[in-house]
Amino acid sequence: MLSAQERAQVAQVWDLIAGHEASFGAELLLRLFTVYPSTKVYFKHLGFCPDETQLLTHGRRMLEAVGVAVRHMDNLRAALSPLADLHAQVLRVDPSNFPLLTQCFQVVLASHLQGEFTVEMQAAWDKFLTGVSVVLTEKYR
Amino acid sequence: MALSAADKAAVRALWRKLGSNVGIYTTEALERTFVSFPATKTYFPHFDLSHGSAQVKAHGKKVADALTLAVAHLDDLPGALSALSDLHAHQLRVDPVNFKFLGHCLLVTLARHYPGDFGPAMHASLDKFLSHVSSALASSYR
Repeated sequence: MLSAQERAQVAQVWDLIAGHEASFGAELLLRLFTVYPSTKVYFKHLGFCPDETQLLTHGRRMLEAVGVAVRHMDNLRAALSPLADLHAQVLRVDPSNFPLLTQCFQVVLASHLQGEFTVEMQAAWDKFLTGVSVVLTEKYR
Repeated sequence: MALSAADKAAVRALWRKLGSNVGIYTTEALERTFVSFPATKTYFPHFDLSHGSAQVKAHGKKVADALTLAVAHLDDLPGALSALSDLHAHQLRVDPVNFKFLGHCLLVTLARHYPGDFGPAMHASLDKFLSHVSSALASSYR
């Protein structure tokens, strides 16, 4: 899956954003809901117009999960198994939505990392997030 | 999901800001597309696709000119892009899924260069605009 160099690039990007899980996660969700309003149906618990506190709380939770994935790139399936159960049995997010989140994530990274979000970094991160998405939707059937 | 007046105003404002640099960003977007989505390279077997390639830069300029044309005709994208749509449908035969990849990489490129101008609302407007461009380009396929 990910080559050694790609793993290094994923880890490098993570080092740059670690510590900002809440604010980046909140921005990620805000972009997702603004650009793809249909995704809001999966976040009814955040209310119709999630306020900043709710976005920050949920955003941090999501980014912390990404952090877990970064630390376990060698074994995403095991590390994300509880989350995969959650998505399959409870949340049931249609798999077509994951690329939308992946896209918004890259826009967040590009906007904050700018010159550091090189062509190669984007490709590595896209592969990584796609891998995470596959694991999270694997138990659906 | 037609482009609202606010979407059109946002896209026009951003394009004014990009000025004559649109080609630089479309070239970077092409480069990102080729690296993140390598299958797209199959449409360019005759190109040198290495970093800094003059051919990619020239192609970036073509894409830039087409998008600038689109921005100038936001009220009639299908009409303005009809010749390009014929070209993509009948000659180039690019699978329309690839338009999304280039669109996405252009969003990433613009976010990277204009972070202060690329909040969620602008992101949404530009994504909508690029979706409409893609639809217009794919309209001659069948």
